[in-house]
Amino acid sequence: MMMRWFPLFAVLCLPSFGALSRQIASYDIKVTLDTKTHTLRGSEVMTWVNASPDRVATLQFHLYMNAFKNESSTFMRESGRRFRPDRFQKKEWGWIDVNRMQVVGGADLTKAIRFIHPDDGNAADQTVIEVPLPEPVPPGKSIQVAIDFTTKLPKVVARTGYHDEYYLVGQWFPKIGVYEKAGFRYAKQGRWNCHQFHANSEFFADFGRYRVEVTLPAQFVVGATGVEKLRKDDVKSGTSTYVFEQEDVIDFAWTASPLFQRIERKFDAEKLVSAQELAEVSRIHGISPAEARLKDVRMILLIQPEHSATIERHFKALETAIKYFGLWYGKYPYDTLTFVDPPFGAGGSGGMEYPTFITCGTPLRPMPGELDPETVIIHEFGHQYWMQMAATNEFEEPPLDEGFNTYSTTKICDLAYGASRLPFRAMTFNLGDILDMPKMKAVQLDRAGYLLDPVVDDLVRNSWSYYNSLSYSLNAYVRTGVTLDTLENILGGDVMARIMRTYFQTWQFNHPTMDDFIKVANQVSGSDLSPFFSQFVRGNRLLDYMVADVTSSKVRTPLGVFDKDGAKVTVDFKEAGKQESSQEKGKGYKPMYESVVNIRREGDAIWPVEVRVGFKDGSVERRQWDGQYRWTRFTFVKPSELADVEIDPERKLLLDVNWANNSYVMKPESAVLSKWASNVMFWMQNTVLWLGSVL
Amino acid sequence: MTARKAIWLGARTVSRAKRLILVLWIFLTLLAALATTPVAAAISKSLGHSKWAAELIRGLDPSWIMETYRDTHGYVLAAMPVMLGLSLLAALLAHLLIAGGAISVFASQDRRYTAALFFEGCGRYFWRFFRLLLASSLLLGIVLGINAGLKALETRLWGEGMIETPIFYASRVRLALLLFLLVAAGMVADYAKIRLVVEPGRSAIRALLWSMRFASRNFGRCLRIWVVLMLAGALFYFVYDRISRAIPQTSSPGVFLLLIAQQLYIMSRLWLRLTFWASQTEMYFGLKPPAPASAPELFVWPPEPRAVLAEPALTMPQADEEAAGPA
Repeated sequence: MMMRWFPLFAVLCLPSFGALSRQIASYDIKVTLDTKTHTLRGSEVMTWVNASPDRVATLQFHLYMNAFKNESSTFMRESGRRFRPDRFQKKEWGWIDVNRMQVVGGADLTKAIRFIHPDDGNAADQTVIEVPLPEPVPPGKSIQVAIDFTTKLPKVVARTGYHDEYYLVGQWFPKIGVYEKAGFRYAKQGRWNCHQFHANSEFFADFGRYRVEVTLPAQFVVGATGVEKLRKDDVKSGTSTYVFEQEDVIDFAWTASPLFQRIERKFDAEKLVSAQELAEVSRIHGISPAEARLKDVRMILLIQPEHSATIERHFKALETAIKYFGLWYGKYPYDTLTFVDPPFGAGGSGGMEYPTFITCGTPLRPMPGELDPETVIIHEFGHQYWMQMAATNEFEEPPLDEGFNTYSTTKICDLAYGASRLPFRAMTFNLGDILDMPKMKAVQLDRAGYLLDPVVDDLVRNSWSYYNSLSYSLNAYVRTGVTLDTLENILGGDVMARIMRTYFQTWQFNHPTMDDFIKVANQVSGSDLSPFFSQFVRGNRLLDYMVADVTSSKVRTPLGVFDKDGAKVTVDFKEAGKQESSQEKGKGYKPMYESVVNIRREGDAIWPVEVRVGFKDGSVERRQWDGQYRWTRFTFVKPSELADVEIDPERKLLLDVNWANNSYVMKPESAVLSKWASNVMFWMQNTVLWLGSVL
Repeated sequence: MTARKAIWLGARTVSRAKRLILVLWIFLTLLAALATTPVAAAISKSLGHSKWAAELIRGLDPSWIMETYRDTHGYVLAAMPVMLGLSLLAALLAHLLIAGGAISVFASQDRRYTAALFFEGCGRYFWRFFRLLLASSLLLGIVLGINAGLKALETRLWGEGMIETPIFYASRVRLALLLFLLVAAGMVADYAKIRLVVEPGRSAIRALLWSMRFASRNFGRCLRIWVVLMLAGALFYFVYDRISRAIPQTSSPGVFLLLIAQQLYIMSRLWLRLTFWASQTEMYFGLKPPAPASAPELFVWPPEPRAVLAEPALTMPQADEEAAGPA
C-alpha cells in the first residue's frame, strides 16, 4: 500500500507567505444541513503536518458531538445533563458517526478506528478516536485524510445544537488533536494531546486553514468563522451553498436561521482610536504609534428582529472590545468578526467563542443600566485573544483562557461603562434602580465571587479535576482575575500592561502555558515573582492579614526606686503626680503617648505588606512587614495619640480575604452600622406589611 | 355608599386613632428588629472598628458581604432565612390578631380607639380569623392554580418557538391577571373579616362565601377603594423615595434623617392598611348588606351579647341612593 506524503512542511508548517501561524491542521469540508432531521452530512479532507521530530504512527481525533449521545458520556456524567440554565432533553440526543476514513490516495482506515478515553477511562465515552496508520508520518511530512461523517445535532443545550429553525453548529466535525513533541508544553516525550469532551472545557487545537462549504435551504441566513467567499443558489433544489474561508484559526463554527437580521458595519480604526490613545500605548510599550495602530474589521451582526432595539448597543460593545484588546495586547488581525444573537429558547448556545465568530445573547427588553449584552460581547470577543490566538489548553489550564479573559473583560467594562447596578429584574424593571441600590464595579464583583470559596483548589488544574463545578468556575474565572488584579497592583499598571502585551505578542499563534506566562512576567518586571506564583497560582495559600490589637496611652512617670546623685530616690504615685503636673505647667509641654500596634498573619500565604499608622495630630508613620512570622509589633512614642492603623492602605492585595480586619480606628464609625441596620429593618417592616396586605 | 365616601369616612376614622397606629408601629418594629438583630451583629463585628466602614457607608461593596459570610462561617446568612421565616410567621399571626382589634374599633358605634376595645377584639376574633385564613388559603390556591395553568398554556403555545414577544406579553397579561385575582381574593378575605366581626356568626366558610357574593355584587365600588388607596400608597412611596435620595447618607445626622424618613413612611403604610379596613367597614355598613338571607336555612346563629354591641348600622351615615345593592 502506498502512502502519499506531502512535502508541505516548508509551505504549511512554517508560517507561509501572508500566514500568521504554523498551519498544522487544515480542513476542506463540504456539509449539507437536513433541516427535517437536524442532521449534517459532511465530507472533509484534513491535512495534518507532522511538525515534530517523531515518526507518528497513529492519529487521534475529537468526535465531540458524541458527548450528547447518551447519559454515559463523560460530559453527561460531569454536567449532570445540565449546562448553564438548560437541562438536556432526553429525546434530543446528538451524535457523530464516521462513515468512512481513508488516507487520500491510500488505505481505508475506517475499520481500524477505536474509541479511546485518555482522561477518565470512561469506556462509554466516544468523544475521542484513535486510528493507527499503515505507515508512520515522518517528521516534516504531512498526511491527508478524507473523512465522511454524519452529525446529528442535539437540541441546543451546551454550546451547540438546534432550536426550531435556528442552528448553532460547533464542535461538529472530526477534528484532529495536537501532537506534542518532547519538551513542547509539558510533554516529556512525543504524545497526542486529545482530551475527551468535558463539561467545562473544549478547546485545544492546532492552527490551520479552513475552507467550508455549507449547503442548506435557501431561506436561511448564514454566518460562520472567516470570510464568506461565495454564495451559490440552486433554484431547482431550493438550496444555497455558502463558502467560507479562514486561515490561522483553530476551529470552525457556523450558524443559520431564517429569522436572523444581518447587519454589517466597519470597525473604523482611524475614527475610533484617538491619537492620544495611540501615543499612550506607544509610551507604555516603547513602540511607535504606527505599530500600535489597529486594523479595520468587518463586524457582522446576526440578530433576532425582536432584539433590534439593541443593535447600537451590540456594535458599541464590540467596538469597545476590538479597540481595547487591540490597544492593550495587539491588533485583531482578522478581517471579520461575526457575532450572533441566539433566539428565545436557545440561550444555551449564547455566550460562546469560536474563531472570528462569537455568540452573545440579550433579554427582550434590557433594563436601563443593565450591561447585558455588553459584558458577554466583550468577554466572548476577548477569547479571540485568550484561547484562540494565544491558543492555550483549556482542558489543562483553564485560567489561561477564562481567567485571563475575565481580567481583561473586567478592566474594559469598568473603563468603558463604569459602575453599574446589579440587574435585579422584576418584569422589565430594574429593582436596583427603583430601590436606589448601590452601583458596583466589575472588579468588586470579581472579588466577591472569589471570596465564595477562595482556596479550595490550586488555581491551575485540569478542568475536570477541580473540587466541584463551583470551584472550577471560581478558579478559572474570578480567582484568576483577582490574582492578576493583585499582581497589577503590586507591579504597577504600566509594568503589568507590558507583561500582558509581551506575553500575547510572544505567544500568539502558538500554545503557551502558565510557565510561559510566569517567565514573561519575571523577565518584563525584572523581578523574581516566583513567591507570588507559587503561592497563588501553583498553590492554594490563603492571604489574610489583620490588625490584632491596638493601644495608645499617655506615657506616665515611672514609679519605683531610682539612683540619683548616689542616692536612692523613691517615686510613688504622689511624687509622680507632682512631677507630671509641673511638666504640664511648663511652656510648650506636650504629653507623650506610647502606641502599640500588633499585626497578625491569619492566613498561610506570606507576602510583604505596608502598615500605615495615623495619629490624631495628622502625622503618619509607615512601616514595612515581610509577614514571615505569624505576627509583628510596632511601638511608637509620639506627642499624639494614635488615630488609626491600616494594613495595605492602598488595597493592592485583592487576594486578602478580609479587608475589614485590615484596619482599626480608635473612634469607630457608627453611621454605617446604623444605616444598614435601619435599612434592613425598614425592608423587613415593608415585607411584613405586604404580607398583611395579601392575606 | 360611594367608594369616595367610604374612603373619606375610613380615613377620618383612622386619622383619629393615632394611638392605634403607634401601637401597631411599635409591634411591627419589634417584629422587624427580630430579623435585623443578626445582621446588625454581623455588621458590628466586621466593621465596628474598621476603617472600611467609612467608605462602605458611601456605597455597598459586595465583597464585604462575602467577607462577612466567610467570617461568620455563613451563620448569619444561614440564620437570615430562619429569622425571616419566623418573623413572617409571627407577622402572619400578628396580622390576624391586629385585624380583629382594628375592625372592632372601626365597627364600633363611635369608632374611637380604646385599648380595651382593641385588645378585646384582638383576642375575640383571632381564632375565627385563623379559620378564615385556612379557608381563604383555598381561594389563594385556586388563584395560584389558575396562574400555573395559564403559564403552562403559554409554554405550550409559544415555549418552543424562536420568538419571545408573544410569550413576553402573554406573561405580563397573566401577571396582571394574577395581581387582579390576588387583589380580589384579598378583598374577599377583608369583607369576610368584617362580616365575622359585625355579624354574630362564627363560621369562617359561611363568611367567606357571603363575602364572595358581596364583593362580586359590589365589585366596582370595592375595587375603587383598593385602587385609590393603592395609588395613595404609590404616592407615599414616591415621596419617600425622593426624600431618601436627597438625604446625604454618609454621616450620622444623615443616617438619622434617613431613619426618620423610613419610619414616617412605615407609619404612612400602617395608616393606609388601617384605612383599607376602615373604608371597607364603612362600605359594608353603607351598602346595607343583605342580612344573611339564605343563612337561616342552613344555620341558626347562636345568641351572642357582643353582637348587639357591634351592631352599629342604626347610627351609621345613611347610605346614598347608589348604595342600594341587589337584595
